Amino acid sequence: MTLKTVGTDILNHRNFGAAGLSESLPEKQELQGRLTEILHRISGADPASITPEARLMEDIGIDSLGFYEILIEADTSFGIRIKEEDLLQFRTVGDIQRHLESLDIQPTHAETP
Amino acid sequence: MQKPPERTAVIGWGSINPLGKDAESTWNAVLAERSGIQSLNDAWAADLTTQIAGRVHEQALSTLEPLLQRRSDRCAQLAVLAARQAWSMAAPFRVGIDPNRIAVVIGTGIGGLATMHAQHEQLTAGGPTRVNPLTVPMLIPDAPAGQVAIDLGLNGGAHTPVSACASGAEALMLAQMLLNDDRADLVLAGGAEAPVNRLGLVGFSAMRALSCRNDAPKQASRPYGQDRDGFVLSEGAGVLALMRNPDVPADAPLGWLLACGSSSDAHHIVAPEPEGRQASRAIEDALRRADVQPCDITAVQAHATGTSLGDLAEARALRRSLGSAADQIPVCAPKGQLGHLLGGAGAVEAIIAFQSMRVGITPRSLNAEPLDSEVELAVSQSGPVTMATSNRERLLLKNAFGFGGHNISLVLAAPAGRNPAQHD
Repeated sequence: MTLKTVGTDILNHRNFGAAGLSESLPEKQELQGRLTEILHRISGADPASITPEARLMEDIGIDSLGFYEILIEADTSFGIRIKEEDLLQFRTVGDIQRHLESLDIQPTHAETP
Repeated sequence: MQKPPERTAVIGWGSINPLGKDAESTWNAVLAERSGIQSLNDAWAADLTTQIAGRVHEQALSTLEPLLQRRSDRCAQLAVLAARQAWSMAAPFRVGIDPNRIAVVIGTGIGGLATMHAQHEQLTAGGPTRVNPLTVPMLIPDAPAGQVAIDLGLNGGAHTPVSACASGAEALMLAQMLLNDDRADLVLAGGAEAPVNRLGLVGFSAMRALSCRNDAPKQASRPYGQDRDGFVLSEGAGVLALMRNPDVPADAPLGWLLACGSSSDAHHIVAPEPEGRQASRAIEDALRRADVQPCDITAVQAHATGTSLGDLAEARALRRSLGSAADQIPVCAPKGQLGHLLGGAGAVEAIIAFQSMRVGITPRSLNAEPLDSEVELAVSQSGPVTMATSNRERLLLKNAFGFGGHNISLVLAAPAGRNPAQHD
């Protein structure tokens, strides 16, 4: 089963650079919290184990279908359409977080499926 | 050449349905003559012709792990819950059995209908990128069997008979065949269904199969009743743990599956052959394989869903096959209380049949009164009927028929005078 690569809706990129993750802006904490919640729902993993360093497959237990769930959750929760080629590059929780931050998107609190 | 009958021992069971979250609470509800049917007050049901159904209590489903709730359809969730109960009850007898020799057979009529419905809505409202990647694994009808095998770590094969409302009973037939063919030493077998959603109700309503008695939900399901107007959709699952009888201690079985009969109408995709001739063949096939005569039968548990044509076809079939013995044999129609669990019905009702034999009571057929004058059977319409006490064991004939013209009949047996729900 192959999903067609979807284009990004993101127009306004902002680069946090090397300091990106270490910043502690409220919106970043909120994004991190939402991401942890999403990954918990997808994997069933203990939220405490969902750290930026945690590996998605080995540590969090996300399987190949779970990766595509991330794609849908990013769309419904953040309004972000992650490109499939970007999705498949993610290895750690931090990778996703940095990607979302680079797109400068606020959580939409949209409905979850 | 036919082999001599080999009875299959029932060593555990599990049930979750509108009457109860397990087999024991279900039996208590049966005895109390409670109805599992309720009004649907959900917004999605507001414009439907039928706004009644039998539902499992949400609290019972909430005990499942969140990940399983997220990644499996309600149908599979119900199957897993029922299978865990049967697995737990069978614990004393499965010690030392290789998981490679334990099979799963879970039938369903439709499978993941709610998932199909929800994901089609996602597709329509959100476009192709919003469709859940688990859509297919959740909606396929073999998912309940697969999820049970995964949940309990069973590698002896996972099978899914799909024969509409006969699926749960057909699963028991397949289980017996697997055991007698030495393909497994223990089989978890049953059926599951979760059709109580907008698409399910609309689909059955469109063919005018459902009762529209919205103002009186508890009186809506009226199998064999003179004023029946269709069946009531319900959800649930039942699973039985089965082993070859010589492989278990003599006092272990809760009951036995003696034999299964089958036939197909080859008549119409939904309408039963009105005289029930092929249904009779299934009944007589089961009796012959069990090596019992109609006069040996203690009670009948009918398929009877509450449809005009179906109930009469079955009544004619039973009368034809049982002959004058039908004057005396009490007939119970459990769907008056349960509603119709489709693929879950055969197994959930079979467990009730075993429980009824163990205490010697044919439960009341709720809402069968006043009885259709064309039904020439001793339906337990007025109240429970006490079974004969002189027999060492009791025998019960159970029917399950499905759209597509599938006819399954089972001959079940149980020791007299035991507790209905527990090993003693």
